[in-house]
Amino acid sequence: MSSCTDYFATRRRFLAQTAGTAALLGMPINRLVAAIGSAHAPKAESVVLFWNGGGMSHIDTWDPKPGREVGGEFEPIKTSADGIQISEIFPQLAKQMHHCSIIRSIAGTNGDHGRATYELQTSYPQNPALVHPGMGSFVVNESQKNGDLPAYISIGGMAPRAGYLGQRCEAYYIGLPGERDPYLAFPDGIHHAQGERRLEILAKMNLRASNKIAARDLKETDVALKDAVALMKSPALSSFDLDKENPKTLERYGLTEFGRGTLLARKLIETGVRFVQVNRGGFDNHMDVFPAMRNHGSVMDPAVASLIEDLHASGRLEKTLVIMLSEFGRTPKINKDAGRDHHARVFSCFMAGGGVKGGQVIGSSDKDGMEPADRPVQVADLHASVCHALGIDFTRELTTPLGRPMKLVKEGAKPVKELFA
Amino acid sequence: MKSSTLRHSLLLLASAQLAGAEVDFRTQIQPIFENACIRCHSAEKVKGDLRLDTKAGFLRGGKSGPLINAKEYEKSELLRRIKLPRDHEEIMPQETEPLSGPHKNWLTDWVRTGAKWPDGVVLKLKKKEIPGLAETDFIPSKAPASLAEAAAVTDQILTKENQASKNPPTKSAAIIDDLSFLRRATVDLIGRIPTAEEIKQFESDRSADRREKLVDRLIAHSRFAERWTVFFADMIRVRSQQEGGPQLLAYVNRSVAEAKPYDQMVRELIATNGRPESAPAAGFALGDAANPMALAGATSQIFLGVRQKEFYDLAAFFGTIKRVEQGKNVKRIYTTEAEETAVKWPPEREQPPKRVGVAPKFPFELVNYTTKPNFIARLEDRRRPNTGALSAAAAKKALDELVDGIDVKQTLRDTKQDAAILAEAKAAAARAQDGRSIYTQSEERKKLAALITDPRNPYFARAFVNRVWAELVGRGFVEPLDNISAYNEIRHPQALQFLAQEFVASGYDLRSLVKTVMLTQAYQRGHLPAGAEVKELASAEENFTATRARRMLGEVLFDSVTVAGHLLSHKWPEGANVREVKRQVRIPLANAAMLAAAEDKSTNQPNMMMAMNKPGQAPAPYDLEKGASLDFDALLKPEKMGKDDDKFGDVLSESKKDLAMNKKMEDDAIEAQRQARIRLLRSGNAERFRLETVTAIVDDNPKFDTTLRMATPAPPSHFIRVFGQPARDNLGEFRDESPSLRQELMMLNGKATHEASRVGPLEPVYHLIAGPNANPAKAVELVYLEIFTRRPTTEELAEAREVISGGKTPADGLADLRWAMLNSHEFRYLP
Repeated sequence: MSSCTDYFATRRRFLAQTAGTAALLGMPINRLVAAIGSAHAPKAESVVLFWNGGGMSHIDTWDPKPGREVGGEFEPIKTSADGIQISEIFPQLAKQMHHCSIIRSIAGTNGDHGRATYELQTSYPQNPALVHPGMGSFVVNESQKNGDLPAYISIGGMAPRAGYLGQRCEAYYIGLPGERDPYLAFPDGIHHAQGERRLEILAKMNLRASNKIAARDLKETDVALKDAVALMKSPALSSFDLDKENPKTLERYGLTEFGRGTLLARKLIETGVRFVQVNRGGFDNHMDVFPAMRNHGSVMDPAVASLIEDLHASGRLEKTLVIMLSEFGRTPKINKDAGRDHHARVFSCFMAGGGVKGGQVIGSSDKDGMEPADRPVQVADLHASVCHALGIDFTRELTTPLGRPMKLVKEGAKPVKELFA
Repeated sequence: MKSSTLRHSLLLLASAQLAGAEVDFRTQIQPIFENACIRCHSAEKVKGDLRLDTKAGFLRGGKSGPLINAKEYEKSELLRRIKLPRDHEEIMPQETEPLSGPHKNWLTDWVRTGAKWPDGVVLKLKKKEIPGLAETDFIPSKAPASLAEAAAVTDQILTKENQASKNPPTKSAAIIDDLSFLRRATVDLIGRIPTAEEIKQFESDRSADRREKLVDRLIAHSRFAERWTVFFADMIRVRSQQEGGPQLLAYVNRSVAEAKPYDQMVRELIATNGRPESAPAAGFALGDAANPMALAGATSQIFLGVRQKEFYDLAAFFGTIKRVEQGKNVKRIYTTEAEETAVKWPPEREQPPKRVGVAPKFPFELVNYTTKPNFIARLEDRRRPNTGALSAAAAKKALDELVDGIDVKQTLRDTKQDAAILAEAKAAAARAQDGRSIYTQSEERKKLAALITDPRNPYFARAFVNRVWAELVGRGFVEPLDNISAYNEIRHPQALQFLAQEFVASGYDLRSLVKTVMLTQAYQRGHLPAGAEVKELASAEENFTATRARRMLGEVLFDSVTVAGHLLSHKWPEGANVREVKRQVRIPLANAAMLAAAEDKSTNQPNMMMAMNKPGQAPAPYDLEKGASLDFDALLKPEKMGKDDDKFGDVLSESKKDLAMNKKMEDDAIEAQRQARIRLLRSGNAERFRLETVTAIVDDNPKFDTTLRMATPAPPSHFIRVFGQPARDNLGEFRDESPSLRQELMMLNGKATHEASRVGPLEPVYHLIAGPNANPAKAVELVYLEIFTRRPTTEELAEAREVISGGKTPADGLADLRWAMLNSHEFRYLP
């Protein structure tokens, strides 16, 4: 039922019991559940999450404050969406704005990197007794696997942990986009035939052991091994390769790690990967925030704009939710070091595709970007929205290994309906 | 799952049938209120302005209004609160476990039928019963004469408890054979599989007590401390990347190596203030950012195995702890005491007009023995120092420790010679207290440490024994290991209590405890055969009549691969594997001078801020399989800062050092560097690069290091993390033993497995597989011993010889065999 490589036979059985009818109908269970009781037909099938670690300034990006002292050095620019202005550091994205939605009224609660990151990723406040799964983990837990590649891939940094969902829902991690991953092929010097021979010897040995050892997770280990071998042999692996890309495409996304990572994300989504997280750091700009943001713009703008443009051109944008998040915003007040400090009370988020209505701004912050002015959006509402876009029942109750019932998304969360109007 | 679902629906059915019945206040409702509510809602403490000990209080309600909604009973505040999800801020009860399903149903029915509270009934706080201590009849009164006898007694108690249980008897597995025991014990005690040499040594001993002698050898092995540092690091959540983390890790390692009594170690962890460089135990409090509430939670859950939601009384012991950060370029961080407590009541979120400091109060009761139990008398005997036995060096060390704020009075008490030392130490301590020391120690935390480690504390020893037992046997007496409560059954309370008593009597000695467990039959049992049902397995494991097939810890698995493959030293002559490799490198597009000018030169220490401002940096391929030995001793060597280290002089010299550094980096130089960085960021080229393919010459002849001495936890994608090493961010985080795709890929294609498989000329098996004296049968036997700690069966030998002859060369064939063995289930799962 789940595309986190689900080896947990008991859980599978349980799901089959509770949702047998839905499975018989041949429809993904959760989608069916969500379809009942909501007029919205989920369109998204996959997600690209841009995670901007450190706390990205909202005023210098999605929520410009022209003419105010807090506005900083960037001018707002017009976009392809009527009446929407964003910061000048995103000139190419401005041309895609008719595909995009901006939420300007996220009411965060936490100004500490660790705790805020946890909440933005999981919807839950940090709790010393339990690790909640991050967005990618719970999304892949709730959706079907599609193709040979791991369902959840994290590029250029670490994704949050799968918590109580366990190893099976952890992200597959790609360090340098385009670099050969040594773990996806037999080591240098072991040719295909020899590798096959080794696998045969191993299979024989394991079969013998399976008749001897009554380890409970031996079967799961067997499935993991089978999946690993299938992955090593999969033609889909070529999606990891960037060497054969048209140099012009590479140039368009940007000759940076981030540009390559974003291009890779597109290719992975096209190959059927459910959730790709592209990580970027360097937003904790307590000092010299403007040159830092100028640089962020020059790196991110071409990459994200090209992604949206390409997804749209291939007709995939409807099925792919693109979302950009950071743990909080930054203070409107510019400090003595020409930087901005942590600001959680209001910040913004950017979304495109996946059934999200383009060309709109939802909510607003007050004149100086200090507090939400109208339509405050709670952090967990973002998770509910992502689930909603994918047709996942975000109120579903899971059971932790210790038997604690736990809602997929924090109780009380509501999807931001305007996104899907 | 199936059966528990069934059981669950039966329960539901039963309670549905009961739903019509009248609920009895005295037998059903009163105990719920007394157990769960009135600790915070009575005359003594009136949280939320609510009293639940009297009828009047109940009818009046609290800050959130009346408790009962007579018109729509479902909407009663009382019911709303008890039915909230566990993590909800408003759930009741807050200071104990949420109510169980039946209790919620009773309260619901009671409210539905009018919430009748009999007149005049006043509720009293029910004295909490300590779980698992009610029965002691299986515990012999006579102390065992040896650890082997203690192990035998443990087995007897387990058997009696199983027989006395209402559950049907479980299947039992036989005691494992000698070589399986060797493998299991070596893995558990020194963190790797045995070598061929060790197998030979063990097999040559035919004495009846050869297993005990083996355990003694392993406990004396230098890797014992490394392996059990991993145990403690998981338990107390050592994180090298935290402030004081590296020192805390080194401290734990040294404590285990020096066989420091466990109670002493815990007292140091709880009560030490200071700078981790000189007082490494202070790293424990720094790991929770010296936050009183977090420390109360950690202390209770880790050392006592008791989880609670809020506990102001306990947190108040940590109320004045203060984390101080000094220095600009080189940060110095330490803990000390503040004037005023940070633990106040009511909580801030209730936005009270006034908050008052909470006084420390130990929320656990010590057992009140009428006569001194034998195990406490034995502990006291053991700790009564021999007159004059303290050497001058030991006395000096003791003095140092006292000055460091560590309580050694216990060992110094009552001896004449020591009186002088004590006087001097006291004087030193007094000097330290006269305001000159910046590292004030906390009297309250010393009191707390003493209470927690008091032999009459019914939780302390049992919580630890439960963890050690689970680490070795594969299952605790209580699961989860850190949840001893009246709501969580202890399966064999008397066996646990007996082991805990023996642990106390041994002077809280880890090695004695470990040895006792190793010698039990419960430890030495095999698994149930394949094909056993999951339920059968579970109940046999719960009864300790069979063991769980455990996977090696990530660290142990990695070290076992390197030991089996002779990778701890080079197995090839230099230059034997020289080859050309092509690699892509990234050449920055920014102007080199511009890049150089922007580089941060002010400090060579990793700076959090700078690290955060760097885009995600990825490790090179295969970096995920590195071991690295930290120099623990160097971490514990106090830095030489001047005569008055740890005093104000220290701060002065530190600020002088900072000043000197700043002088070197003239202000305008700093500014110039900042401007260069700004120019680079504005250039649009700061992150751009082009790829270039370069050719490098490498000699594939790697040597690996142990993973037991690495900074810990390892980076998130490292081999040992992928195999379950926890991040240790949260309390109650245990190792994830589930299999994953990533694990398989790292074993199938990893550098370590690959190199371990290759047959190098400098390893023993080489002359058995290549050259004139080759003897493939012997070669197979050796690799079976080296990898599986056993000899091949006839069938396996025949198959192996086929594999060898199927290789390009016999050595290549043997490499294929070894690769398969290292990747197999049998290698990973303990016999």
